[in-house]
Amino acid sequence: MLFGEPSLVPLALFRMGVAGVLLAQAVAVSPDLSALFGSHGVVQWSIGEIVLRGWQPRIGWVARALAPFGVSDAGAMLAVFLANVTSLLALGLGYRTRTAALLAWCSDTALTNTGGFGAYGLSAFAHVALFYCLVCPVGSRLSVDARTGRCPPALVPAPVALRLLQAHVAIVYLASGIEKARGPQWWNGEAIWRAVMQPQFAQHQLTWLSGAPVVTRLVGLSTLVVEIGYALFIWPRATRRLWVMATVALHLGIAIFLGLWLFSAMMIVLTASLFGYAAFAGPWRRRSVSAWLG
Amino acid sequence: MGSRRLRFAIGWALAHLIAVATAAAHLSLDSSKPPGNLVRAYGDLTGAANNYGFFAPAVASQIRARFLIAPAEGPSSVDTLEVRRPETDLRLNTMLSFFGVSEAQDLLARSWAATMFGKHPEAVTVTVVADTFMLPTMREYREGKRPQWVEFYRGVFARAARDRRPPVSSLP
Repeated sequence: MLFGEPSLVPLALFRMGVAGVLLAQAVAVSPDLSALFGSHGVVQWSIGEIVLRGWQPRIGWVARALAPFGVSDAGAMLAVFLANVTSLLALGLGYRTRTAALLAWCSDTALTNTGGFGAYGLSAFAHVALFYCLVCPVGSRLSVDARTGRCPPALVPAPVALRLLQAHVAIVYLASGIEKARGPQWWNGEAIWRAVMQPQFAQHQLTWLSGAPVVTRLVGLSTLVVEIGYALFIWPRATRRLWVMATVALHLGIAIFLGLWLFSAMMIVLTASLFGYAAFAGPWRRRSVSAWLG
Repeated sequence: MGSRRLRFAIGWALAHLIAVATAAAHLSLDSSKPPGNLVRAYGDLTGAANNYGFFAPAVASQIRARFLIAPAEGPSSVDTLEVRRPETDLRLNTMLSFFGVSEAQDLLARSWAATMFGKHPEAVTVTVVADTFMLPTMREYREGKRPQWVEFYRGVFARAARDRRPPVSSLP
């Protein structure tokens, strides 16, 4: 059945994983808030806001709202950041989940728009994931709200929410794979060579790859197979486990060889929560979990 | 849950996925007028407007920026934006990648020069130098060719006269 699987635990795992990764990101960038998001940071607000549309939220709005109260631009930036951290903590715990998701989504949007020139793939997925945390019933299990009986009615029913998230992730991988396949570098292995040799990504001494093009070609082709194949093979039970493991391995490789730990963690959360739970929690375990959860 | 609400949820989910798929395929309506601007706004708010061309179709060459700090007196020095913290440096390198867009170069260079003036109050001029990392192919590397940084932008920025601090020795 399209909506026949238990849906609430994967959504809860999704919520906790997303909050965890974004909290780790917050900790990682906290020493450099002024440089990344400050009014006189590496890209000043007056310049960064040129590329924003008039309605797009930004820290500057908060600064202008708080200025009459004597709050500086730096104070406004800190307030938005602390709101983001606090809401992510609440989201991870599943406390006032929908409110926490709304605050996390708003503050993350303001931070991303303000520091837009520094936003990369993780920012894009954070934005999408927090939106889904807002509209999907991600706090109905494994949460403080569930324990205290304070879950609000679902905006999007859980079975629909799960299929929506799964379909979105499948589209992401299909699009990503097709984009890569359009050029020669992923077919001939040059993409792998170029990625691991860029100074910003180089984690290990891999110049020997120049003498082993079969290795880079194999890795490049494997990447295309995993990404393009995701949309087809993540759904059937017979191939789901294999594709979950392959996808996790792909992102572990990205983390280990390119140093993109947080991005990889987010991508692993997406597949592991939305597809991995169903793939590896066997029927007996699902019944036990369902019985425990009530 | 009522069937009407369920049907609405399914309808919205399908419409949302269509927005996701079309954006991922780089298909879009004219965003300068309705309904394209509304669709674009929805996409920006929800993340449905994203595309996912990571390292695609090719892996771009890294760009770096160096700043030559020239004080009124004494030798010049060189600084960079790096902070030696991985996540922040990743974001800074992402900012640097926009320097490859020619229309953005002077604007970003001005912004970075301002950062350097703030970091180096003694600076009278800051020269922004941008290089791109030219990596040979695997075959070229085997034949002895090696990576090198190649300069493609150089701009000199001077501190406004009203912002210049007097030399320390002249302070009471």
